[in-house]
Amino acid sequence: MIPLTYYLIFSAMLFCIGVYGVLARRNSIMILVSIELMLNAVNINLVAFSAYLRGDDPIGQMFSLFAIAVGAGEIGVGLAIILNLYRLRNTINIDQIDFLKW
Amino acid sequence: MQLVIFFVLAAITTVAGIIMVSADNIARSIYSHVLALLGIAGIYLLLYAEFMAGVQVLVYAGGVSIMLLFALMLTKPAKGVIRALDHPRRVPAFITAVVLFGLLSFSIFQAKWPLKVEPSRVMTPEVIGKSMFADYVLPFEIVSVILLVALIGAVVIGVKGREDTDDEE
Repeated sequence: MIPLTYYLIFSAMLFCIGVYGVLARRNSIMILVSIELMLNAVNINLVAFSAYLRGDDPIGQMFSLFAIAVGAGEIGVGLAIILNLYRLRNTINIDQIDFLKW
Repeated sequence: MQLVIFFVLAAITTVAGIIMVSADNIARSIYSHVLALLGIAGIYLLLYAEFMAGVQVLVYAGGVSIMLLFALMLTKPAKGVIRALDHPRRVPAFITAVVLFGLLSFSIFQAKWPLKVEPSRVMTPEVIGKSMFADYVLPFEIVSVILLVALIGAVVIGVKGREDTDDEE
């Protein structure tokens, strides 16, 4: 029997690794990957809460499934934007992408 | 026994995540991301969520990482160009992440969780499917529309960028 807090700590750790990746990485693909890791950490939380607090009701898994679907869409649009930026600017480093800065 | 499996999976996932955010090679980074996602799928199995584990392997470890690798191959920098992968401000980023983890774990240990049950029953796809098509039909339809919109949006964004570069040439 694994205590619920273990899952929560594990997911908090993954989330913080993702936060570090978003803040420290410079390549925008890596930033997207780190955001994916953060989404996955949240999904673990939801599934763990569903298993420990709701029993037979799979409501947390429903949340996670919808989150996965939306996350897949987000990755698709994000990669399209990145490819577009690469065509326009020939780089995908975020510190060189400053169209909106004036 | 479950505890041992949990710790092994958690260690694999965490180490893979750390390699992911610190590797010098983006391809290696994405491969360790796949490993982390598979570890998370194992965690779902421990939580008796077998459908979630399957979806995780299919969508994330299968689809998303392939898309990421495609994007990586299409945007590879020219040979001989050495670019640092990390932002210069990585020390503040590290401090932020550690402080956030401290705050999160502090509040996790402080909170009183109203534990009702021990997870024991496997959530079969049958249970998930009945719930999804009985109680959650409207969110399901909305998500399908969102996926369609994201698909069309990705295509439109990609094609538009190509036209713009053609005009510039």
